[in-house]
Amino acid sequence: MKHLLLVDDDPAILDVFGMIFSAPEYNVSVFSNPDAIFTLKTDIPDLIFLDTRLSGADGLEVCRRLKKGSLTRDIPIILISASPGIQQQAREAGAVAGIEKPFSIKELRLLVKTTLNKRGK
Amino acid sequence: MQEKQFTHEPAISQVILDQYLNNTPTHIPSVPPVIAIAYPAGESAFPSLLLQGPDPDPALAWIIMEYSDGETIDKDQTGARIEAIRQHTRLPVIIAAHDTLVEAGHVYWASQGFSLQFIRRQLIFRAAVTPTKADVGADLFLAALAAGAPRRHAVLLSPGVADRVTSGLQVVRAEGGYSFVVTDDPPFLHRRSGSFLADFILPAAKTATILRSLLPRFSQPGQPLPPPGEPAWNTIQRILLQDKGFDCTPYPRRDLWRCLHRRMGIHGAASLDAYTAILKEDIEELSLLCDELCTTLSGFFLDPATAIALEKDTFPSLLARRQASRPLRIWLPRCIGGQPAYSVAMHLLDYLHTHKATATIQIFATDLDKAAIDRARIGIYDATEIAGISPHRLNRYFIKRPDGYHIHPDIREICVFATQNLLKDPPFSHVDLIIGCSILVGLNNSSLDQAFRRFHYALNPHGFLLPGRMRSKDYPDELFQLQSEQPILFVRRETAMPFEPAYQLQSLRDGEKEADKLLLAGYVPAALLIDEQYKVIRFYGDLEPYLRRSPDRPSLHVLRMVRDDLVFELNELIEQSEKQRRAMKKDGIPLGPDEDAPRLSLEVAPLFSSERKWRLIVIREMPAAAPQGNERPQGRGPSAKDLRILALEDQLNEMRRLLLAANQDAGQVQQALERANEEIMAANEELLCVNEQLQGIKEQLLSFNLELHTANEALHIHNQDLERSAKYAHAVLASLHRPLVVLQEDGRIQTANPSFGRFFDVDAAKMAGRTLFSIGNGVLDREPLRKSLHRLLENKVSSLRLELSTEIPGQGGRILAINAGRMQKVKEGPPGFVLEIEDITQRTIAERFKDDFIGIASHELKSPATTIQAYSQLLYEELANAPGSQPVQLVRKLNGQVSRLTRLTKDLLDVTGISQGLVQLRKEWFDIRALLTGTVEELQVTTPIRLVVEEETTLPAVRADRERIGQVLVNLLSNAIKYAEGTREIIVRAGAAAKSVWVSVQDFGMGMSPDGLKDIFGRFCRLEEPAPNRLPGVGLGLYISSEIVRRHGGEITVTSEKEKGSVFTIHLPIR
Repeated sequence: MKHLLLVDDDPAILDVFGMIFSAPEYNVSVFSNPDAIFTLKTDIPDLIFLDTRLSGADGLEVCRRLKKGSLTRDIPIILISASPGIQQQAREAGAVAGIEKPFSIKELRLLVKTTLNKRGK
Repeated sequence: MQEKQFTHEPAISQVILDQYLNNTPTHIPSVPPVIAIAYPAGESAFPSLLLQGPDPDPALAWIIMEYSDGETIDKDQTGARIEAIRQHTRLPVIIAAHDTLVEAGHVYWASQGFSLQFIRRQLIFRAAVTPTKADVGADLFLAALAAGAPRRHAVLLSPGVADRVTSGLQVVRAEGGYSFVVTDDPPFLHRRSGSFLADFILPAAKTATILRSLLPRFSQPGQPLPPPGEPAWNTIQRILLQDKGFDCTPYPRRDLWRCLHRRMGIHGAASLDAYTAILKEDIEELSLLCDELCTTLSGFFLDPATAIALEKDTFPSLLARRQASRPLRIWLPRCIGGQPAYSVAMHLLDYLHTHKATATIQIFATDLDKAAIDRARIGIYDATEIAGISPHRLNRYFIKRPDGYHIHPDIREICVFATQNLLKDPPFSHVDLIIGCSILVGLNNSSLDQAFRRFHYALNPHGFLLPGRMRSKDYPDELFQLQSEQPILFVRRETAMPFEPAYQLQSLRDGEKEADKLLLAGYVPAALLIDEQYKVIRFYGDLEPYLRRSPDRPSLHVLRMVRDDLVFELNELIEQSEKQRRAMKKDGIPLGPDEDAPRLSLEVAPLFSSERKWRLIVIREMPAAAPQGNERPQGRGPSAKDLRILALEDQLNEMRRLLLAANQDAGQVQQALERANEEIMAANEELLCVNEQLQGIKEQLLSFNLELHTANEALHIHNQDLERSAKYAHAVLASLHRPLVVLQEDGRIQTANPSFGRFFDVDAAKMAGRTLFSIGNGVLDREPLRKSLHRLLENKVSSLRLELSTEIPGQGGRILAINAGRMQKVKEGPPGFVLEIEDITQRTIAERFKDDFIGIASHELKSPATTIQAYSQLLYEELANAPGSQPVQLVRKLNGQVSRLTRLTKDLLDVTGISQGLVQLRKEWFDIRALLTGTVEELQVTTPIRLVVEEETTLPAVRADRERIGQVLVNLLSNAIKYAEGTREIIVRAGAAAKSVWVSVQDFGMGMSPDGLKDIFGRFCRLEEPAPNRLPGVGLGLYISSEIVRRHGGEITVTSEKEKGSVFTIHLPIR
């Protein structure tokens, strides 16, 4: 059972992600406020989806901070954005990948699967 | 009136004056033909020799003149002479006395104290007022004889006299008389007659024969003129013209006939035919005739040979050698009536005119004969005298007036006429040319030599002498070099034989010493030396009795110093001595009114030189009992009363003479006044003419003025037009909303419009001459503008366009679009540039706002699109498990539309990014063929059209943005598929060049017209055909593609043909 954390302020996206990863091996939790991430002490997620456009915060910046925190440093992060250059930006910010909206759910599932497999090894 | 005025002495002047006063015609039959015999005192046998020959003709009068060189002949000798003559003739012999009348059938004997006068139609002997020397006396006598009795005389001369008379003989000859030199001396007989002016040189015996043969001509003087067209006459004219170049046709026939008739007489030719025969045989006679014609016919014609010599040789040479500052001086020692001088002047002026040369000319014409000089000075000629002068010259050099043809003042001013004795008076100097007019003919050897020395002295180096006729044996080889013989032309030689005229020696002497010498000789009598102003220079001897002190300011004037009794006499003596240029003496002047008052002898001696005219006045007291005159009868002592009467008579005579002289002077003054009057008239005429010309000029000026006025008005209108145009141009400029400046070629401002001023808050009118960068604290001083403007001014680009952000005082930050270009060339205007500024701040902000809006909008659209797409995918997954059902198809269609929507938003984002410069290329090395193949495979799924890839070569790897290039390929292929619907295939080719690769996509669809291709890579460009509905899209694909390729440094091109398809090609650099 893998714990996927989605940080986004768009409730529709949260809903969609819940449906995409509705499979039993996934447990999806959502934060609409990015600051909440830094308060995590237990139940550390296996993967974080981070929208670059958050209300009151920049997703890329949040990503960099997470990559600096000792507890969150090793959590793979996938950035989601409407900007076409997100893949490059994501890599620069320390994320494992960046996906551009709109995306194919097949590809997204594949990406998550490979990311978690790598981490599992 | 036909008086001949060939005299220069008072006595002869008087003759002529008498003739004038008496108004007597000269052709008087009552005057008998005269045979004059002249001989020197030493040859007292001479007249007897001649008288014994012919039987005395009662129609003739004989005059025997004895000349004695100034010595008086005493009474006894006179008696012996008369007695000797009486023995040789049966005619009564009369001793000429004052008022003796010359009558036919008489022999008159006269000493040289007498002359002839022609008074009241009679020839009368007159006692000469003053004693004259023999040669002058003989000349005068003969001249008077000729003047009084033309064509009725012969002159028989002893060789002793013949040498001395020249002008007298000339007159005789000119009047048709004959002259003989009679001698038995063989050497004389062998001389040619031309050496004297005489016609014959004969022994005494032969003279009588010849004289007798001539006598009939004496009694029939008026030989009728041959009719015109007479063959012999024409023959003579032809011979003269052919052999001597002498054209006598212009001269009056009468004058020619007189000369011919005379020559016929000399040769005893009875008819013209006979004379013509002689002329054909005898060359010498032809020369003599020609000579005589030349010297007696005075006309306005130089003989042709002389004229030619002047124009061909002399004038050019003189003008070439002449110093510009010096006048050209010509001397004619023989004036005649002025015609030769005027002729030379005309020739010279014509010559100068033809050769466009200028020169100051002075022509001196001199003559012994005062009358000739007077005639020349008057310069009026009658119709016969000017006959034959060309109309051109007549028009140019003469003025026709009622009294004849007047020489033009221009010519008259050039010529100076003066009486002069060639052999005695000082010659002229610095003369360039002397034209002798045959003056040397008849001179004896010593006179010739003297004349040549004078000519030599007068001439400049290389000066010319044209002597006229002369004998070749007389050529003065040591002084002159013969230049030509026809006519005779000499050039002055530089020789060491300077001429020193006697008067120069005199002038070298000191005047006072000379005076002392004279006084010492006379035991120093009372004397005064005075200068030309009659001022006393020095006193000699005891002058006390003769001087007075006048009650006025002291004066040295001699006439104010001497006693009243002497003033009159002295004044007269001074004047006489000046006129005659010799000492004058008068005796028996009483000093005071008393009868026994002392008698004085006054003598005035001129001490003339070239520089001064001093006179010595000597006063001597005479012994009381001295005889008073020659005419006084001897025997008894004269009473005081008689003496007084005699003295008074003398004074009376003197007064009479003075009165005549005064009359003459008055006549001259009147003549001068008349001349002056004529000149005034001429001047008046000229003024009238000038006035006419001025009137003409005034009219011209008026018409010019009118034209100027018209031109001025036209200019005014033109000016107004120009002003309007300028105002219009200014108004256009002022009305422009945009700031605009005109720049000079150096970049400085020429003009700025008011908008410019308003925009930058400066005074537009004061912008001229400033640079653009100095305006408003340098708001335009930005590097990009400097660079671009520099390139524009350097002509590297034809226009500039740039956008500039700057801070404008009072307006804050502004964005300016600056456009500039070279001004259209204006004819003759200075080149310049027009620079226009547009404030695009608002527009730029609006565009950015729009881009931002589109960006944000499309970005925000993406999120719901993503969600929708995700939902539809999930829905599809769910429904896929139940295949064949209707909802699955619907979901798939939904998916397609959602994909389109997302692609659209993506494109919009791309465009915004590109226009804002936000697109960043992520370049990496990749295999472009792999990309191409992948893309083709991907798209093949979506279309039934076959996508054919033709590989030409292997393609190298390129360094580029893989994703973006892929986007371009998709775009091109999608377009091709879209516009080639219904065709079978699309061909994709790729290849490599040196540093680039290329990919082309060719379709065979509808294609495009050239118009359609124009803006194909622009934003929002879409083809209008076929119906837009059929092929939806916002037309951003090609714009994005071209921008991507461009940013890679590559190029995208298209070729297309309507209904045949298009080829799109991209070229990418390898790195």
